[in-house]
Amino acid sequence: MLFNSYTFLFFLLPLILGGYYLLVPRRWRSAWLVLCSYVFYGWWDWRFCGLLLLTTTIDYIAGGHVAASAFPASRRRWLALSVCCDLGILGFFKYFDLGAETANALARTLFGPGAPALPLLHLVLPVGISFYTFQSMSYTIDIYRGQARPARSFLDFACYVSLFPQLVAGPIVRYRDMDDQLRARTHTAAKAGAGIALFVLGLSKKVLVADAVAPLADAAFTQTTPGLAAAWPGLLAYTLQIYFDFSGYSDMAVGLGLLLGFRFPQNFDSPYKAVSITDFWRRWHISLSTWLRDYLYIPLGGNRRGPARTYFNLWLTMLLGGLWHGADWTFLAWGAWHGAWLALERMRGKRSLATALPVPVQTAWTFLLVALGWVFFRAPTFAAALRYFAGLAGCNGAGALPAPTETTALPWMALAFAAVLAFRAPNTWQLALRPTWRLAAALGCLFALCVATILVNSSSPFLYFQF
Amino acid sequence: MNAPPRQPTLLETFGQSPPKPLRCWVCLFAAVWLLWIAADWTCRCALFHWHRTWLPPKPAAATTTSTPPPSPTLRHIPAQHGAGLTSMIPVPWIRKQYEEYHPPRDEWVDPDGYPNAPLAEGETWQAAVVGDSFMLSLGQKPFAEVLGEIGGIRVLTRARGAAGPFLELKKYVANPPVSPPPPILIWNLTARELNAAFFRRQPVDFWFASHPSPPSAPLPSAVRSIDWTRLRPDTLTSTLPQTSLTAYFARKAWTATRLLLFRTWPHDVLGADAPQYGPILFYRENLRYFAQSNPADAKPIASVVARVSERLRERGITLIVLLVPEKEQLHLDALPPDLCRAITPSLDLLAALAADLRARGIPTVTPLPSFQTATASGTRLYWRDDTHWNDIGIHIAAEIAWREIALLIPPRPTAPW
Repeated sequence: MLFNSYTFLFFLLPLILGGYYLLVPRRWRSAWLVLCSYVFYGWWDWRFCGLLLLTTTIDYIAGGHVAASAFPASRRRWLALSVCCDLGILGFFKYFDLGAETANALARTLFGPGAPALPLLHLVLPVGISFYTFQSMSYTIDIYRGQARPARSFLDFACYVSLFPQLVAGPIVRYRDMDDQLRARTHTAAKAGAGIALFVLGLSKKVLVADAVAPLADAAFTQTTPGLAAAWPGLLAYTLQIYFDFSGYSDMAVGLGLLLGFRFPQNFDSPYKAVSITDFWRRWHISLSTWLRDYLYIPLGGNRRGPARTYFNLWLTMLLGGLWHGADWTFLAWGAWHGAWLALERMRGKRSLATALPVPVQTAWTFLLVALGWVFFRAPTFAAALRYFAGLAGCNGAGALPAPTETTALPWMALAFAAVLAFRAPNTWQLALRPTWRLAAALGCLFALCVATILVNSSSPFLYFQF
Repeated sequence: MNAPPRQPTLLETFGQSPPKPLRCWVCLFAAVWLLWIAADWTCRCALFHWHRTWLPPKPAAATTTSTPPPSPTLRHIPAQHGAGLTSMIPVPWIRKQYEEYHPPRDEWVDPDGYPNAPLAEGETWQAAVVGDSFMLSLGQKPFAEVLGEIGGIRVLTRARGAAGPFLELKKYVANPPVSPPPPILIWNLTARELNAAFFRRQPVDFWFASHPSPPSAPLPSAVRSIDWTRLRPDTLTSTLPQTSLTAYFARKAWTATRLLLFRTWPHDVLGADAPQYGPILFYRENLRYFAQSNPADAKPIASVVARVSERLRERGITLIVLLVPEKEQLHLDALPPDLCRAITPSLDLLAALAADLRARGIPTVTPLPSFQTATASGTRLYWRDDTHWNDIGIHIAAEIAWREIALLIPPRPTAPW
């Protein structure tokens, strides 16, 4: 189910909140959240609830054994079991076809067209599997490292893994940050008020900004040979769309968490104001970049094995981070692109190539690099990405401006508005709004406008659901 | 165990506010939201009767006394400004430019709801028309009545709005309204419905083989339980927004905004200025259909029609096909060039289908050429504010149809003097 859907806003959310605050006794609130989260998840396809439960059960049992065992070998075995099961499930559902296609292509190259081929399973990717797998996996790893206590009960752990606000698209929350909140959390008017405000602002970012610029991006990226006039606005539109889409979702998740008494970490910090790629990754999808740092980059050796290994570790971490986003060569290329720039900046002491220039130029340079990277992210195939780059370079001529819908002016107006917001406005976490009646009226109008827009258009899925 | 993660500034500023007003602030927000939800759900059940789609139906009250069959009644239809297409324009002053005056009239309605006047003593139905809303009228008289006046015969109407080409035909062959059925059946096929895949799906032989359904058969007991399929998540996701008053008003408001601010016409209607006729509205759904028209569809459509004709002939009925052109096909000069180009294949399809039907020996009425000539000479044959033909259009079509029918009706005995 989508947060920006009528069914969620007018059916499930009131039921969840009503049950949570009015019907269910305090000690059963976590159980209620687990039930609601499974309904939320199963709304899309109930069969995948079993997969979520399986992951939860494996990691809960493994985590318990890692904590209980006094023998390092036994602890390692349980950790390995947990990690292998998690990555096995993720790999099977997400990467089996990519692996089989690659192996088949390799076999055809080596042994000719008659080489035996692995069958493609064309599996449906369970929504949010990458997010909850990473989240669940971090639990056993943290216990193994002594950074987290084992969960008090299976219910607590199931609540942590399945908690619906962040289940399908993050932020990726660590168990150690949630442990105390699962045991006892406070419900205050301040949390509820801030939660409402964040939820409405996040919904507005998604519905009124991201979805409004999306037609421009779609119109450009669906062209086989986009000209200059289509390629650059299309790229700008997608760059802003993905930011407002994903950060809007994160704000809604944080807002819903606050409404239920939870505090989630910040996931975005005005990333397009970054002055270098290193800075960008401190601001973009923070919960993923810190997860990759703690559970991949540092175990690979981090910066402890000399400069060359540091650069390689950085690059490899980003490459795998790219692969995490999707089973396609385009995502690998995106990861490699960012990894290469991170390594290059590390060589220069974590500074951008444009350090000597004024800050606005550094920001523009970083924005350009990030935007170019999004071409790999958005293009359906590697070949399509290369064609798009050709369009950006002017190889397809000037072309015409994209005219995606009949109301052509609207996406362009939204694009200008989105650009101003991204570069000039404070992000939602920096807003110091006070709970005045004027704010209530403004948020109410914004919410009504969002609901009206949702009902006028059909709800569009969040871009990060596919990962 | 760890330092708490960074928190939104909002949480701090809200936390610094006095608790009582803050509680009021949250409660107000929650109350307005809950009221909105309650109102929307109330309207869903009260106006859209959403609950009836899944609740078991109430058992019908048993009737003890048999009522005599009702006879045709005269219904008064008041005058109106505007019609189907203008009702889709949400801005009153823009809507007004396209509205036409539809005068009041009295219309006979038979017990089945069709516009048929009662037969006089000694009269019989000599022909029947089946089809869709083109056989009805927004003006003075429906097609069958005009045809009857031209030919001096009585023509039965079995047509309904939004029935498509097959619904009324199916009903007619399954349960003929009069016995014996009229020897001539005029079947109205509207241009936008001419799609080979749609025609191929029709089980024509099954319709003619099936027996009339018994009157008021009791519902099987299985139907008297909750229809859980209507409460499945995917069904709810699609039906709930469609039964929301909020959605209704939101769509109206957005359509009006688009029209006023961006001059973008609503999804279903397109306004234009015809060089000869001034403001005129088109139905975009038709344009979307025409974009898929393919002259190659003529053959498969004709073979389905030929099967219908054959089955009717076995029952002693001669089928006449009336190919009704749409307004958009007549006013090409008022449409944008890209839409105009998209319509051309649909004109070719009409011509190809008429030729194919005639080659198979099926009498076919094609008003298109006469309509094109009349339209070019300045006669408007369609309503400005509706998709259907006006009184002049009906009259011309009926005259052309009569030429075909006259060949099939035996000449009346003439007086010897």
